[in-house]
Amino acid sequence: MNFLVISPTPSHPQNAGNRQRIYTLLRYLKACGHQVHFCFIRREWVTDEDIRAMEAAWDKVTLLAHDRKKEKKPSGGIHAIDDWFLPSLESEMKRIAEEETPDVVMVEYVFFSKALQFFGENVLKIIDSHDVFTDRHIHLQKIGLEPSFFYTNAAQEKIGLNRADIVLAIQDEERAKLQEITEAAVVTVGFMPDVQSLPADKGNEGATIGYIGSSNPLNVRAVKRFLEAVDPTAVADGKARIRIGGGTATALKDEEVKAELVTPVDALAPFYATLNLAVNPHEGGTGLKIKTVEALAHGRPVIGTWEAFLGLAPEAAFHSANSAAEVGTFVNRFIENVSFREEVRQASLRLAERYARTVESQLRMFRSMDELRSHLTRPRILYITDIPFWQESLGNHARMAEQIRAARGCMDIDVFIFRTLSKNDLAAAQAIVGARGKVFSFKSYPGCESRQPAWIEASAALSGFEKKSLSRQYFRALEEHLQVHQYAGYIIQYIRLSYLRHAQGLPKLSIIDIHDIMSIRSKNFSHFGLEHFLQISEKEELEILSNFRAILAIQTAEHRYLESLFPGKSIYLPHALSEVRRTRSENPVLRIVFVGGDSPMNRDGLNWFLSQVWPCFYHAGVELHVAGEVCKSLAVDHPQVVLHGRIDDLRGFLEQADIAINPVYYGGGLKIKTVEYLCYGIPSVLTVEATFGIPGGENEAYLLATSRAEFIEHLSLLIRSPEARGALSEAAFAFGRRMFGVRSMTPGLDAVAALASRQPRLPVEA
Amino acid sequence: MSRSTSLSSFINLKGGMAADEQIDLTLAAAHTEKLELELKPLLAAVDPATAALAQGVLTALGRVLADVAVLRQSIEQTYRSRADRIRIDPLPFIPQDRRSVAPVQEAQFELYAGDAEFSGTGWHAPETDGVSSWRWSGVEPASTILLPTLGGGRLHLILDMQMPFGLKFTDVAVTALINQTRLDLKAQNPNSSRCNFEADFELPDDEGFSSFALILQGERYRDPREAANPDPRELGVGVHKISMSRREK
Repeated sequence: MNFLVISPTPSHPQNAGNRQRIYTLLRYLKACGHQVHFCFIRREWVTDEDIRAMEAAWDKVTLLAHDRKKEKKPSGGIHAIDDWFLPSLESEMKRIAEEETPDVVMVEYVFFSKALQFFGENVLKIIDSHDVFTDRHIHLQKIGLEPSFFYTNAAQEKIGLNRADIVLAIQDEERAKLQEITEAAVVTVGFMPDVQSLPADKGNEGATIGYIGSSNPLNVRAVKRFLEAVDPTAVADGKARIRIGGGTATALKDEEVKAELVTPVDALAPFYATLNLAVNPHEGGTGLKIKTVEALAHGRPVIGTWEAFLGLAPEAAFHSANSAAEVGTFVNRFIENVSFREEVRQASLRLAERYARTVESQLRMFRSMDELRSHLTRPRILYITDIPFWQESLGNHARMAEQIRAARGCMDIDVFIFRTLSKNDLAAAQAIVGARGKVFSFKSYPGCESRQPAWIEASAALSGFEKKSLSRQYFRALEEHLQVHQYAGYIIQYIRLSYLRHAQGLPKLSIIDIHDIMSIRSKNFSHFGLEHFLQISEKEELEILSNFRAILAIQTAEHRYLESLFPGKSIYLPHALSEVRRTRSENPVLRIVFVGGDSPMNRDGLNWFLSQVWPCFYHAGVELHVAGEVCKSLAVDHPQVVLHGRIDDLRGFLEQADIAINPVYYGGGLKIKTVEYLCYGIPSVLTVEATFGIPGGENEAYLLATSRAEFIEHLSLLIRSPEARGALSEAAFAFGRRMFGVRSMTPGLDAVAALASRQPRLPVEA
Repeated sequence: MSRSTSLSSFINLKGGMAADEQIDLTLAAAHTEKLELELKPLLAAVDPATAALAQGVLTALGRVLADVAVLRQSIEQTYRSRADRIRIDPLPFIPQDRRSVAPVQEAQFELYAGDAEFSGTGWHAPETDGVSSWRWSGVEPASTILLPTLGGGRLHLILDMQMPFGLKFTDVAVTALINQTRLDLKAQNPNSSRCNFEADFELPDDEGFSSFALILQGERYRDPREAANPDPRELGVGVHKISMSRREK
């Protein structure tokens, strides 16, 4: 294939992250046997030697003049998308488009996307986004920096992105943001520098810890905070040596810091070769942090903040420190503790290998035009539901919202919902579905008012349970929708809507997301002498499930059960959480939390806890904070208990927690609150039921209580021991990220997309 | 799980001794508080030395009353209904099959065409010659089957396949995809009608519960024989066995 790459950034020298990214990507294209014509818009200064290097690296190089002074300044607080695309470039682009017809035109940065408009429909158009520019100025101001470079709003960025067929995002979080804006297919292609991994240190040598960065004030501030937290005695005694390199070192030269300042750093590899540990204490900001990736690529163990590892899906707590100061705390442990040093080394190595493999697989799309074009014809799937998932206030809302966000990476999603949607509801739901999908309310169809029986009501195909669950308005409205919309597959949410599988016009690929096996749940209720609100026999439920091509199982126990009954049908698709920070609360009065909806399981579990466990802690100087609708049914006079009721900011609530409990003793499915506690790294005491279907982690990632006495003892331990809380928090976080990070949904969603892609493909609707 | 600070140093899993003590203390304190409340007017009227003495007596009395309560509860425990026991401590009643099981990752996997577990779309029913079983693809343009990921990583796949109607694999294109990625299949002996195809491929790491879709695409053939009763079906490539093993993770 012939690639024309239009870039305002040179590929040589690779002394900045964006240049390295471009260089690595183009090298891959060359390795695939493609021709690369590199069209450099001279927005950045380079030497003649650099130009010669570019000419040597690529098949053809075109240099286009550019005068930054002629670039338009922001107007109305933002840049318009073409502010930097100078009129002189237009004639140049016309000329290039007349002279050659590349197979693919790739533009670096959305603000040069106008270049794509000069090429015909047969040319595949790609934007390598590098960053999200929507509201970038607001983001910078929030972290104390003056807006610089390019920043715009969603409407302007959309104009640019929509000029492409495919948009490359550098990491998944940016992919999700860009896909909310654009109808182009957004695909993540990460970046791993093409460098030789240095040999590992022997682990028992003195600790040399290093950082290299520019003089950006954010870097300088973060490094200072990090240095303040490092144990001064360890440095003074010579147990540890800290080396700061690059512009950051220059900026620190007049200050008294306990570090060796290395400036200039001519080459990265020799600098990294002197280190046993690289740190990245970066605070604030978004995007992939090249510094982190660079250190990992050089084979160095790394400790860093949550922001420093964004996009790399880290698991260890020391790869997700909450602040630059916490990076310092982890570094102190690294200096003192040989086994921790090995732990950091191993975890960094695993992360580097996994990320390199991920990037390699992402790059494979460039091997052929077929593979590139396959992203334009993603299968379109219809979600059929009555869950107000955009509210994200209950477990099932959260499950569906996260699932759709993740699914957008490999499928296009429409949602058909049995709800009346306000303007705000529709906007919130549409944001989750993204710009390539659409949300349809059944209220938009005449069938929603119908009193006439639907044809299915007379059919023997409908099971007894389905007859009872049937809404003829839902059924008719869905059939009306299917008369004008076609799909490669559909996913029904919950068995209570299973009767809709009979609707005419549905595609062959039928999938049900059960959330729970109702008959098993009913059995569990009756074990405790209770009646479940939804009654279905095991036989009938399994009969209904057997009619679906695939069943999405939310947790492992149910997946195993379904797989044993219906081999090759059950797809494990756990609930997953986007990357969240590890909770590190230091409340003067310890805060124990519980979150729950107003379900009998939550009510009974919490009431048992309040009557049988909590009295032991009346005088322990701790408070129980309860959030969610479960508060409605609780007595208000329990000592040391604060009822918050329904809360909008669950994240904020969980970030304030010191300890969490889940005392439910019956129920079913997966307990989303347990997943949340683990992912936030909140040390927790859980019952067996609270961990149902979560494989492993017992007394490592959480404390399991199998009796009242154990519940009291475990809670007592966590209250009195900050060390136990700290250790459990780190273990919970790592376990949560591994089991329930967004990555955990990838295999299941990929399998669904693969099954759907074998179905007839349909174009994206305008 | 590797951690620098082991939780085992913090947790006493020997059976609630500390909790028992804490419950006893709580119970004693509750009785003492109740007595204090009842005697509050009297205690307020006496001098500090007498009040301190009275406080000591009340605390001791609280302990005695707690012991009596525990004794009474122990006796009552024998006669308590199941419902009552659930009310006090339901946790031991949670069925043991709800307990979490640590994942065990299998390193290999085999599936024969005759196995009940061989399920998917686009396949004809299994057939056998008494020695071996197989399934023809070709019911749809693509035949799919969900297979376990074995925890992901680098995997090796062997497909024991057969061409229909005695045709040979020479010059025949069989396309296999892992999810949506095309496999680079290598035939061991393509100049035959039955042949093992092998391929290495990679999947993202997972915890061993996930599946991927194996998709077979290729030509569909009609029975070329001019027999009286030719096979009326359109058949694609047949599969005898699917084997998979994990190379590394």
